[in-house]
Amino acid sequence: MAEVVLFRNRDLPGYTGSLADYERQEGYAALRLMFKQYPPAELIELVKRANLRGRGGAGFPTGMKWSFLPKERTVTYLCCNADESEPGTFKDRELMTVDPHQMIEGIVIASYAIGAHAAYIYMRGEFASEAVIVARAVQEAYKAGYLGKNILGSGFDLELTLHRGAGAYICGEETALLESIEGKRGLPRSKPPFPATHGLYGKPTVINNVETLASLPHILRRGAEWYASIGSPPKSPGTRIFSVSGHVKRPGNYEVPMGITFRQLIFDLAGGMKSDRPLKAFIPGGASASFFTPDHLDVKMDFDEVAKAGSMLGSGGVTVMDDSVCMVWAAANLLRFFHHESCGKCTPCREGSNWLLRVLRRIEHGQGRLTDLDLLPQVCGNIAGRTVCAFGDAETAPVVSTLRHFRAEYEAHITRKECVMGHARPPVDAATAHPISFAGH
Amino acid sequence: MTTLKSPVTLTIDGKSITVEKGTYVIDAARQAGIHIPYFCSHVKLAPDANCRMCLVEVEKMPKLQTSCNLPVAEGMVVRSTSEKAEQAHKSVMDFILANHPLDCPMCDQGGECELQDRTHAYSDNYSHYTEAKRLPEKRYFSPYIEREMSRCITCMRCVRYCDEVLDVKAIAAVNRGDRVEISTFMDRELDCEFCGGCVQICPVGAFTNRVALYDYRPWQLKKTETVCAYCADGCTLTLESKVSENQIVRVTSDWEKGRNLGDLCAKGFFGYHMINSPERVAAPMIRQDGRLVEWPWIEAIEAAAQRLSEIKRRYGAEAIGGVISARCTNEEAYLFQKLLRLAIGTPHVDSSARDGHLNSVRALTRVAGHGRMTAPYEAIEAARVVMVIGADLTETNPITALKVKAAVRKHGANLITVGPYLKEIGPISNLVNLSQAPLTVTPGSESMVVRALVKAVVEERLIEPSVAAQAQTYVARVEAAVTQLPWPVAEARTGLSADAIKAAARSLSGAERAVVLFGPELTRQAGGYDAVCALADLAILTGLYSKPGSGLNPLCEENNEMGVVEMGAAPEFLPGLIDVRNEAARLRLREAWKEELPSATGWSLTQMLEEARQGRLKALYLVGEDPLGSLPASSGVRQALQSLELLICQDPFLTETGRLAHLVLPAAGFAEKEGTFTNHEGRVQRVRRALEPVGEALPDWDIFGQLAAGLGHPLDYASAGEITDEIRRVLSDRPDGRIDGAVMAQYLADLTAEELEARYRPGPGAASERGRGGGSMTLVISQSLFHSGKLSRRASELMRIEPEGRLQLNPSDAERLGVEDGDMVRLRTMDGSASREAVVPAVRRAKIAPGFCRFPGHFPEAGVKELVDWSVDPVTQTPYFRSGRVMIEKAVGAAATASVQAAAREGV
Ligand SMILES: Cc1cc2nc3c(=O)[nH]c(=O)nc-3n(C[C@H](O)[C@H](O)[C@H](O)COP(=O)(O)O)c2cc1C
Ligand code: SF4
Ligand code: SF4
Ligand code: SF4
Ligand code: FES
Repeated sequence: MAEVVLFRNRDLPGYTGSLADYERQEGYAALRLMFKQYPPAELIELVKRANLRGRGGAGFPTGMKWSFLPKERTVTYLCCNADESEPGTFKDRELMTVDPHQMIEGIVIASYAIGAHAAYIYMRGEFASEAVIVARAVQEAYKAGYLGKNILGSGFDLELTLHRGAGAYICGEETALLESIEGKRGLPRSKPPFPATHGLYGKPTVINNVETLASLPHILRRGAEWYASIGSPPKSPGTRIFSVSGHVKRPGNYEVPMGITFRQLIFDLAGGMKSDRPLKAFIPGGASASFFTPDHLDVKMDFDEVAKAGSMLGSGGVTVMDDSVCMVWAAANLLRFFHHESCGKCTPCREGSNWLLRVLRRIEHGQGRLTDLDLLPQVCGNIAGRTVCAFGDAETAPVVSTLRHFRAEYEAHITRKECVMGHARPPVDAATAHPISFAGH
Repeated sequence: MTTLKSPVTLTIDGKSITVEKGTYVIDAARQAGIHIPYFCSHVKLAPDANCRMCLVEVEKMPKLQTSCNLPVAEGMVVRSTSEKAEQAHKSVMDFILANHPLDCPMCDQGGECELQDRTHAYSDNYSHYTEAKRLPEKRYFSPYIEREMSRCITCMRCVRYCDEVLDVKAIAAVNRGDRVEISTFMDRELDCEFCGGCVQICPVGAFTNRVALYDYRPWQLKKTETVCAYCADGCTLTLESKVSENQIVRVTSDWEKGRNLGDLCAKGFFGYHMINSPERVAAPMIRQDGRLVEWPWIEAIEAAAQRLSEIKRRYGAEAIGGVISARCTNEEAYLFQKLLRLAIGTPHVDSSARDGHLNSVRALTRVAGHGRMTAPYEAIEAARVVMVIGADLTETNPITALKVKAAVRKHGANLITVGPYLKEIGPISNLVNLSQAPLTVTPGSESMVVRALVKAVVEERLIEPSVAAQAQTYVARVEAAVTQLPWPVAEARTGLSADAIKAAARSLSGAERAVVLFGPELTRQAGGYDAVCALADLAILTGLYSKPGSGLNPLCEENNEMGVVEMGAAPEFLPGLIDVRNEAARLRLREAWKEELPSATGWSLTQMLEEARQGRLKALYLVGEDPLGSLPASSGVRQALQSLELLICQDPFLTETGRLAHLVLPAAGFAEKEGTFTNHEGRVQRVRRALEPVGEALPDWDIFGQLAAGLGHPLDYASAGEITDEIRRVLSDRPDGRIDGAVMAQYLADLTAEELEARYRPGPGAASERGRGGGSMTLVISQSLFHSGKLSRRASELMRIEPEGRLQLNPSDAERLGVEDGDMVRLRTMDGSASREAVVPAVRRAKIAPGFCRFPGHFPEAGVKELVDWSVDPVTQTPYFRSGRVMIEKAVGAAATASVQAAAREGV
């Protein structure tokens, strides 16, 4: 089996993630090395050479993101995106709880590289016990001199603040995250300007995902060339953690080198289909990614290969569905989530999420019309690419992709006026009445 | 076309356009006459790009772009009418209309709705949405603003306006997604400044004026653009009236027009009911057998003329005096002083501007040749440092306050507030919140702060170099004078540290552009004239008069204070602020008028009252003035009025003074006449007639003309416009708001060391120590945002918003007294053996400094005005009656209820 990097301490017997445990496993060695050997500019070059790409969703090259900061700047901020709220994605949670200092070390490295003296961890509101673990680790790091003034005698100062969200999925979107830290309603900002120039409190800011930051100590210790050579070089190097859920035998997080196939992940690592029913569909990268079918099992899990096949690796959540799952129900269920979580700032997403949900529900409950099958992609087309943030694109993915791959199933629902998969049907009135309740539905 | 600093050329829909760098594409298009549809974008607001209506295609950009927040770039090629862009516009309309109720037939916005207009222009007139519509639950919001969330398109204009422009933040979006609604904190009843901005800026009928709910269809209303008659900010507003009913139905304001650029305060937006008030006097009245009875106009004028002639014959013209309200037009003030000076032949003419404004005009005219603001609103907004001293600006001048807010919030200016005020989060905005280093001072010590600032400027060598070079004698004299003011005294009196004062002085003099605004807590407090003189020293020394974009700005209360004095309705000034003692100037005016005018300096308002008491003034002609209602009994006003042989009150309303009058003449209100008002910047603005006068009321200028004819001395004008023309002619050589260099040079040369020494001698102590009342709290009679003088008392909606005066005091003082909001408190003063008291409700306000309390002056019936100290300025004759020292205790039992009943009887 290939090398494990981020989870290398996870399965060590008796490993608690405490500072002492982490230090015993060469923890914070990268930091010492950095202060000794790397001026910030060289550090940015190193990360560029390693070709590390963001693990938050878009796969944006991290070194390049850092170099977008304006040359002239007085204050710079770093935000660690630990909001992880995407259905099907649960990797950051494990990273933070199993080895919190790995993330903290990464935060110090990134802050040093970009010259930030204040950093924030924005943590999903529902992560209660996780917050306790991270808060404790932050405290330990302060006490040991890895945070605060004059870190390790380097003259570099960094204040790290743990900020907990209040339960909105949208706050994982980087600019909504900034607004939320500022104490405002967590709504995405219209870009440009980008956070690199106008971020937190209007100052240049970098936002990186937990996993992205956690990769940094390893790149520092073992070199850019090492990192660039593992995984699926040149464009998708490194390892990545995938959260596998759904109808598999062994759901969970798997750290694998980029470039293995979905078949390897689902069938070799996750143990294949639960109750041995055939695979019907899977979501390759979190709820925002387009559905794949068994035809895609041999696609390489590499940013570009997945994109070429029509979806994305997104946040790394792989949700597997067997043949008992109704695709109309699946799409409607995801839309229930998106409708509930749309922040409401921009028209196409706010109104479109409601529209899509209602039409899908109607079809699901046997009240569809054949014209709906033209209407749905049309509404999706009017949302995607026209919204303030990428949530708009996300909410269309399940609709467009299920329609593309499972059109016949939609048609059957409409012509037979019922769920062909035999799913339970609530009374139509309740299903199509507008969900005014703020709880969602 | 003006030249651009950094021009950028781009192409929109095939048209090449050159605009300033930083312009947004949507605005560039508008400049070129291309309309890109939009909803959330607005000239008053920073872009938010939430509606997505303004999408355009931009070459080399794969996705459609929102043009409302896309800055132009050189060579950019934009298409707003391409197939892709047009399809996007249609699709956004489809989304917005999906859940819109389309209740246009009964919606007040119908006919002026941006959604209706865009639907017409940009949609398919066909909805693809066939699902059930969302119907938000209707919940109570406010008596003044109607909220209909089913119509809301979630553009956030209202929320952004309330935050970005007003800095109030009374409303916000709650909930998420398509459940978003605009609401208040915890969904309580709206409590805010009631500026109406959210109503005006809402593109649809989601926020409408509830006071006018279902009263009109917009296109049926006659629209008259005029100027607000309340405060001196000088807002342009549109009176919208039903011609058939001769009634104002609502007020709006154009975002692109006037000094206010569409912004209004509650008085402008909701205060219009005073125009059609049922309390208006409809016909002339004459006193017969002790009672006022209605009388025909012709006979009333004849009676007035006859009695005035009689008094003139018996006692001489100088036994007659007149006082005009600063709410009258320039034309009326001008004609009034002509009537008195020429037709009657008396020099005794004054106005309500005596109440503080004359302190500014007198001092500033001496220094710079006029009394207007030297930094207009645009300069306030663009200033790097703004100091506001002696005014709680939101309450006194809400629109000027908006300019200061914009300076801070939009342009990052450094604001220094000076006053007994603290930060406060509440329904009313507070400039102190925007100040990084507010100077919270001992109440009444504002003038000491000014002197200490001058001392700091001199001692810290912060004097503007050009001034230091050109006015060496003056500077040396100021230097010598400020040595009399030791820092420990300044610190003890003001409650500030010398360091804080020096820091403020440093910011002021170091700023590229600095503006100082000062108000009633300086000009209406004892020593007001000296304080403004000291402030002028500060302005001269820190270069506020010489640095472009800087200035010293007096704030006025009543709408035309600036104008009436400039028109010569003051005993010391002829029209054009000419000193009556200036022989040459008087001769020039005699040429223009072709008549002799009295050469003596006349009496001020306060002197006239004194002379009446002494029996030397026999007749008083009051136009819009109610001294009995405003002045404390200790001024002796009642006795003065009762001593008169003739009292004429010309007013839209029957005032307290009017009830004593021998003759009451019904005057038209501002909405019923033509003319001009001059705001405190010095802008002369047109007042236009929207309605026929109520009953038989006539414009004041018209009455003056008739009276002059009755006196056998015709002052004939066919229209107010003819008077305007004459004013223009007569004043053609008068300064127009520019600083008169010759006047200033003369002032600097003439100012004696003695006068300067007197100015900076610490004197008998701050008002708080000096007050006679003997209590521990400093009381100030203040102005409220929702009122203006007593005029606003006739506006039913303003009376609903603020129906009674409440004593505002710091929560810590309230706690000490055991007082909660709404509890009655007794204020008491001891003057020798005489004790006076008033019982009023109290309210806690965190912004009021401990030891300070204030009561709005719009509620004289509460009796609080009887507790303050009365004095008159030795130089300017300004009456001072707005502060004193009081004892406060919680009123219990009978007293508390008695006062409530008294208030109820008053109809309050
Ligand atoms: C609706 C939405 C939700 C998102 N949620 C998360 C999240 O929970 N965690 C995360 O790291 N990134 C999330 N992102 C992506 C972030 O905006 C951002 O791209 C990412 O944090 C950047 O980190 P990276 O460069 O390290 O990938 C979300 C994006 C969108 C549009
Ligand atoms: S796309 Fe959706 S989530 Fe994103 S800003 Fe618009 S409404 Fe909010
Ligand atoms: S009326 Fe009130 S809520 Fe509306 S903008 Fe003005 S202050 Fe804000
Ligand atoms: S109430 Fe009006 S201004 Fe406010 S968000 Fe709704 S539509 Fe926009
Ligand atoms: S006007 Fe541009 S997005 Fe609303």
